[in-house]
Amino acid sequence: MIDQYKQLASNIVEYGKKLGADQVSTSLVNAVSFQVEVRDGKIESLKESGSAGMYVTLCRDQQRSTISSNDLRLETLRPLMRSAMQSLPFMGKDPYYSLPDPQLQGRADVTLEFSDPDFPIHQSEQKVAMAIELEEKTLALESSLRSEQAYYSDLVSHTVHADSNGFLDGYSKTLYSVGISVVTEDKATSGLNIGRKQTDGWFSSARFWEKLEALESIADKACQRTLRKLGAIKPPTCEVPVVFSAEMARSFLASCSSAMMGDHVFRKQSFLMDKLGELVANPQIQLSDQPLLSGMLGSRYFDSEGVIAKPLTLIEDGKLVNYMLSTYAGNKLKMESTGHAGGISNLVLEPGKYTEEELISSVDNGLYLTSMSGQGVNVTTGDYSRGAQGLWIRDGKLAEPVSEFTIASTFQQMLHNLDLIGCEVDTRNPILTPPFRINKMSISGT
Amino acid sequence: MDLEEALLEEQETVLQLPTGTPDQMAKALFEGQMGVTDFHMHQVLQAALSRGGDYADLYFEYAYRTSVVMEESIIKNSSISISKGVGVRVLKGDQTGYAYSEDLSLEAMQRAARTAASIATSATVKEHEGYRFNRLKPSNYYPVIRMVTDLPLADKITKIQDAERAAHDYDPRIKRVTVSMVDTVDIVRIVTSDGRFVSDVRPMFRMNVHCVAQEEKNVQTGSAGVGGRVGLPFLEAEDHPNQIGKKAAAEAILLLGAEQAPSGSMPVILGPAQSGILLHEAVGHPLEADFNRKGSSAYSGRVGEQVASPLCTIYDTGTIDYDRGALNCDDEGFLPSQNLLIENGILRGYMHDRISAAHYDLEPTGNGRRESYAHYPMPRMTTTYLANGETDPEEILEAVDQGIYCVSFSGGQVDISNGDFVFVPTVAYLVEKGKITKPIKNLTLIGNGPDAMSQVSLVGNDFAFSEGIWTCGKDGQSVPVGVGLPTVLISEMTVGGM
Repeated sequence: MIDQYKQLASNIVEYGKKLGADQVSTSLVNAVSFQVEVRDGKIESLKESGSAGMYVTLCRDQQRSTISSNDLRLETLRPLMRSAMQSLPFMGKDPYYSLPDPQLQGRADVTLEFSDPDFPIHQSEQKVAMAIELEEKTLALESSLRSEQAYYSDLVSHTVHADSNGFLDGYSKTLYSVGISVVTEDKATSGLNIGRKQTDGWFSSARFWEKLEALESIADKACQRTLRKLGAIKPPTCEVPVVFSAEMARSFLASCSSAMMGDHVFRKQSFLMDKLGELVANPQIQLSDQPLLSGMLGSRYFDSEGVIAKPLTLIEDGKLVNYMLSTYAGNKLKMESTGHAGGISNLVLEPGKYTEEELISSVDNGLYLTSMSGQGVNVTTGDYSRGAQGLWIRDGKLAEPVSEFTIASTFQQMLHNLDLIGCEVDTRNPILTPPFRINKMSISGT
Repeated sequence: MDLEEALLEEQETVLQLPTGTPDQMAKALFEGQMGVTDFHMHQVLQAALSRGGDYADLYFEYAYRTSVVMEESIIKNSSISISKGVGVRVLKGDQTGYAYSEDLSLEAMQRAARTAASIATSATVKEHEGYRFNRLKPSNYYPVIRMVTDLPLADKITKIQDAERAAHDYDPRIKRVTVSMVDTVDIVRIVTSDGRFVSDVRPMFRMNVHCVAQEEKNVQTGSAGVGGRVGLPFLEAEDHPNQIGKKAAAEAILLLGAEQAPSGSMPVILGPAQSGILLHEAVGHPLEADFNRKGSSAYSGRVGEQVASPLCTIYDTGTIDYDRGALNCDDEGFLPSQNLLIENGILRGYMHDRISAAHYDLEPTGNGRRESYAHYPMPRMTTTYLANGETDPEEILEAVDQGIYCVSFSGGQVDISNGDFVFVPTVAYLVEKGKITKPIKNLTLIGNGPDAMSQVSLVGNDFAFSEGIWTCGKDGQSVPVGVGLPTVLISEMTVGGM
């Protein structure tokens, strides 16, 4: 597949040049996936898909146009590329657009394990059986639980990038996921919400089959996470320390990382603009982007422009030391690309020494945050206000569940108030972070 | 692909969409250009039911999308995107088998059909005698003759420049303006094993302005958009570029002077139109019947019960002319209807797709929707709205001593099971002694569906639909939707500021 796509990609580049483009780049993606959802021991849905995608950017004389298509046949690509060329004279000239410096392009000289040679390992029947087994194991733990769905999915994808600098390379990746969500009755004691329920779940996801979490462990977490929400009440409006679970820490860092993206910085849409070299966070915070970690979900040899991937320190002892830059953002900011076209690879918050239990026991009166909702995140101003759910912490111990309230602060304050960092990292996504404590946030409830 | 040959043969090929009625367009495209005949569809349906499925449908789709973006006064990019494919769905009871093919050759479609067929595993399958297609001719709620897609690039650029100029002219503190124009033509054909055969041509237009305002270290953003299933007459009828340019700029400038929002429980006035987001989250999602079929919604099994204040009557419908949520037929081929969800506070019904309707032994409601051929349908909203009330909006304002007034929103989210929802205002004000006073920022509103709806204490007589800008996400599938609402007072809600 990769070789076939490489041939097609270099043909596209050649054809673009023939049409008069002075810079051409293209990415081709092919993905084959399988997903089954089961409920009550029966298949709810089973889906198999194979999809293709092609993206081409054509540039002539600083004018640029792009096309995309899932139809890779010649009779579609040719007129599409021609239409794009015909639209070029209408475009403004953008002196900052360019392909990467060829010196920066290439493949990192390491071996990254992200493609399971035995993919997909199992037949469809076994995949279905696995989802059913996870459901059985979970429901067996607690009779009041009902299944919303248990699922298994896998994916293999092939990506090739080529450009008129002569870059041509590709890679394949595999991904397995298995998970469950369950629901249970939880009548509210007052008001009209007498049909209240609580739902939660757990999943595991990894590039290699053997790295998936054991079903027993997934079942156990799904069960515990759901039951601990029962009887949730609204907390008081107050200002308290908040312990972010690893998942919530991930959500917070994902937003932070977008403020470090060159695109946000040159557009003046980042609370971190003009802050290079300044103390922007608690001095114990070490944050970096690490593309070369073997087996991790965000690992890569090169970015989506073919710029060679290498580790990049973002925050060192609380000081902002780098932004993440694509070639374009680099040109705008008069800096070199850091290999971040297409976003972060693995964003790593260096773990501290505390277990989650220790983080919780450090709080007399506060919140253990397990869920957030809503779009109240403003990376431009730094304002942060989200719907939340969690467990109240009283005298260093988890107490009653709380819901229907908001937490608020600003990124600027949260980064400074992030004063205790945990040690257990969640590896199910490209943001590798332990739980942490933010010592003061506003809670709005009753 | 053999490119050598292509380069030798230098004939000009220009992309051309077919014209005519939706049925003629779909026929010209899928049959004329792609060679998918009735015979092929019979063969594919046959393959889909070859393992004993009860029902199968085919969803052919061709989507043509163009976009132009202006930033820093430069037309930065124009793009064209094509996406086509067929989704094959097989149902066995309430189980779904699904596969799709981007290749519309008979062989590839049959392969997808056999994959989808595997949801059923009967040993004996009775031979089907062939399908009789009943070609439906639905009403057209968005009869667009001249599409935005037909507008020459140079004219699109003029409109974009107008919007940009309007934003910059509004105030010198506007430092950056980004304008985008996106238009899509989505041509679909749905063919089912029970003989339903329907085509639809769905235009979608969206123009958006995003501004950054700066005053010393204070940076704020504002945005505004318009759109819907509209054609060129919409663009020509009013000076939309100028209006949204100003509106986005005004929002960013207003926020430069905004104060941090208060926090705690207080009365909340929802301004007309955009506040319909509240309905979408608080009531809409939990009334999608798949959640109720599975018993996971806070509203499960509560039809006939009081779930909102008697002032609330709520509908969902795909029949609002040119609205972003309009649909001539849903993605299972069913026609839209005016669905009464809540009548004077009493829950009357859910929104259904084929599976949930069969489960409840009801007619489908025209809410079976999917993002594209690559996804199977599920119950989704179209345009959800709260019917007009009787109170003058001024009186609603006067009824509040200390509270907030919300004008526009960036979005919302709901937890179906416990009913908790949030929605996030971008423009909101403090209300003091019946008067709108200072603009506020950085807030999230949180409530519980049935509780918040029971707190609706006044409903205005100034109903309006929101501009067509909303996209709804569910299970990883995005679909365009509409919302509408008159001014509403919620007597108590949690406002999350700092």
